[in-house]
Amino acid sequence: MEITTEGLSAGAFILASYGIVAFMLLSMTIYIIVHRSRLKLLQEALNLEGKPNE
Amino acid sequence: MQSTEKTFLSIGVLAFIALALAWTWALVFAPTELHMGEVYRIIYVHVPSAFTAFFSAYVLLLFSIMALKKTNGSAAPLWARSSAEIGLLFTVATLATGSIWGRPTWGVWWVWDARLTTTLILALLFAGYLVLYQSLNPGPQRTKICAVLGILIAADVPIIYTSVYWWRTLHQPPSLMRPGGSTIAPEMVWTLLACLAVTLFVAGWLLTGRTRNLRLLEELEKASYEQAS
Repeated sequence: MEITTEGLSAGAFILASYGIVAFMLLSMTIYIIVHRSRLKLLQEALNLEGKPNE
Repeated sequence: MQSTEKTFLSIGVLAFIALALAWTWALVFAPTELHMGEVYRIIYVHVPSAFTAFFSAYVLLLFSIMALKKTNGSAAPLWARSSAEIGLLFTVATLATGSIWGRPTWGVWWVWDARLTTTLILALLFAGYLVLYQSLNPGPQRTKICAVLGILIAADVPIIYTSVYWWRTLHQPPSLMRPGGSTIAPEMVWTLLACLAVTLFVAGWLLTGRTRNLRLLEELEKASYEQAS
């Protein structure tokens, strides 16, 4: 298989596209999980665990 | 850890595994396009992102209508806010991947084309919605104002879709959802549909996650106000 300049260039564009979307989705996921755990800690601190509407 | 938390995280892991498999299929096994070559594979991330962004605008519309009908104690405003966040995320992804795809195919990163401009307007509308939501005090007034804006945002989606017919644009007309059927090879269509389904699955999981957090945050804020007073 021959490696060409066009092929490398296409690979860079493809990698950039998938990389940006993967980064955005993973960032959002980490934010959701970390935010959830912080809220849970706050809930425990306020002694609200198990109360209605939890 | 509660079982609901474990279930939620397990679904998320499943969604991301499915996304990784769909992207592997798109990058390795999908056939090469005759005219554009390998770079066309951006379609498998660009089109699902765009569709998910537009779908989020319709989810925002649905929850905005629900919020207008029932203003007190409903979770609809929180779902609406989360769908605006997910919509913004996928609209930015659409613009970024489209811009990267535009460079090798059109020779430019960006043009003030009707399709691109109306999509940029959608991103700005989502961002504006979130700024407005955050800047207003919680209550029925915020619910109503944001619901009206949410309904207006959804009106941009048909304009984006028909922009390639209304104006002379550089962006190609739809290849998949067009009158007279798809112009793409069946192997590519199935790969595209798989990527689309998995992207919607991931978006649905993110939407649920954000709404759960917003609900808990609202409960905690309410409880802390009650404790303070």
